[in-house]
Amino acid sequence: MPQNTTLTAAFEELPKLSAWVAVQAGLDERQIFIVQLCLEEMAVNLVLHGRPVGGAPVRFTVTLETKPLRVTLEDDGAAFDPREAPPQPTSPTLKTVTAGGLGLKLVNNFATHRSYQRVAGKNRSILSFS
Amino acid sequence: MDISFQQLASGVTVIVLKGRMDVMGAMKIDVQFAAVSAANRAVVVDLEGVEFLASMGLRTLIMGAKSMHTKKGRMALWRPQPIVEEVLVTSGTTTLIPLAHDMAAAERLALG
Repeated sequence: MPQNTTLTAAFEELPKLSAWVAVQAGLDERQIFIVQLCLEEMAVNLVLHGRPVGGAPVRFTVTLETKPLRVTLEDDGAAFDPREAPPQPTSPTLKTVTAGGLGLKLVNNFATHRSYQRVAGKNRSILSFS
Repeated sequence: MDISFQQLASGVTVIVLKGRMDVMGAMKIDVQFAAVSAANRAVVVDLEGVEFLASMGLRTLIMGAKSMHTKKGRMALWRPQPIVEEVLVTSGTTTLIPLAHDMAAAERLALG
């Protein structure tokens, strides 16, 4: 049965999200790590970019299904399709590397499939894991 | 997230990290990590005690190595857990900061 939790998009809330994932039944150690990682990256992105100028704090709901493993993240922030984020340049050097872009790259690498919809004024991202 | 330091006879400084290097963990150690990286020419980062690593933690490592690079210094990563190593490799971090599993090799990488 899918489980869900709702949080405010703020850095200090993110440990609660990881703690929630850790106690979900049916996940092995590696799955817990990967789901925590992908959710943290999506939520960090939401904290940094999701709040409309002058808008209220963004709220988001995570729904987790284990068979098959799938997480749905729905938020009421600014419209944003994470699949359209510019890719991180390949083979940067320490001289040229910049700080951003690694989070969504990690999500792309660890999730086997991702989809996005804008539904009733909300962003809905679904990540699947093999 | 905890951070501590050791000075080796070779001149290498070991930065020992322990805990979850998530956004809150990275924020907790960021200033100290940056200061110690910037102040040393050869640094080995002991990752054995790091149980979780996300992009904000990678940012801490990369910015520290970048700051060392501008002063002709070198950083090496040492003995991460397998899943943490997977994050380091898939993110491309190990193309920027070399990784070793034994101390002698890490020390050589840091000393150049």
